[in-house]
Amino acid sequence: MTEETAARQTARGATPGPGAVAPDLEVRDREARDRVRVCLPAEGAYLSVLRTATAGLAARLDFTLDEIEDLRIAVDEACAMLLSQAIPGTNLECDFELSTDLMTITVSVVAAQPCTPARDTFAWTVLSALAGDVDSRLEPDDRVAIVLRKHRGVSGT
Amino acid sequence: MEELTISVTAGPSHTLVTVAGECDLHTGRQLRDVLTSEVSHGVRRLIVDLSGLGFMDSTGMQVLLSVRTVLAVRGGILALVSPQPVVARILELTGADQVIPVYDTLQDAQTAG
Repeated sequence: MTEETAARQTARGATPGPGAVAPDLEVRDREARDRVRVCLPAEGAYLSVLRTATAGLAARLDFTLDEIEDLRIAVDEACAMLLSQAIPGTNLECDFELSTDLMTITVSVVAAQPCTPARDTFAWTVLSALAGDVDSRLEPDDRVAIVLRKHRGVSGT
Repeated sequence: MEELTISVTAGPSHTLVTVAGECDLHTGRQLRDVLTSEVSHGVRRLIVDLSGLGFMDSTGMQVLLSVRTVLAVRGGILALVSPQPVVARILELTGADQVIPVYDTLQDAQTAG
């Protein structure tokens, strides 16, 4: 068992006995995607934490330094847009889906009157230029989400 | 969590504002408050040293653009000095670097100003 799979098992709460290997991990498809969820108070003060997490995960996928910086800005812009309508006291959720050369990031908040962000703003212009593929959507339970897809080695501009 | 540190030095020909840390939705208001305070106290030539700023998003960029507009109306000028690549990137993406002069060094900004 590698340190990495051990960490995954720990994260999943699996407790195999000595020497045991969970079959689903051993046959794990190389194309399978790792998922990381970061949940923070929906407050601007936590944006820097999320930027740092984003940079760390992008570095894991061997994104270039420029791509990592683009992702830091993109995630920040997406969250800043959503925080304006988040209900105080709720959480900002950020889901990272990591595959070989693609990072899909979904950020969402709970809003009193959920609406997708306006696209004629500086913030959206920056976001779409940096992330390449950006979309927003309304989700169940009064959530509004922005989805970013950033390919490794493909300029977003 | 990253914070924003701002210092102001008044000089004979201009006022130098040095910012360090990260400027985002949370800390951008600090930058806005300091810059608008300087302008309301009569400062007309502002140079903002960005060399210590490790991050800026569109919130900070809009602060700079609005201060630039107010200064322009009053016959003043705003100049930026030595942005790090990540900050230069957002200035370029938004076109802010087309309306706010950006210099490599403080000396360049002082000479040009």
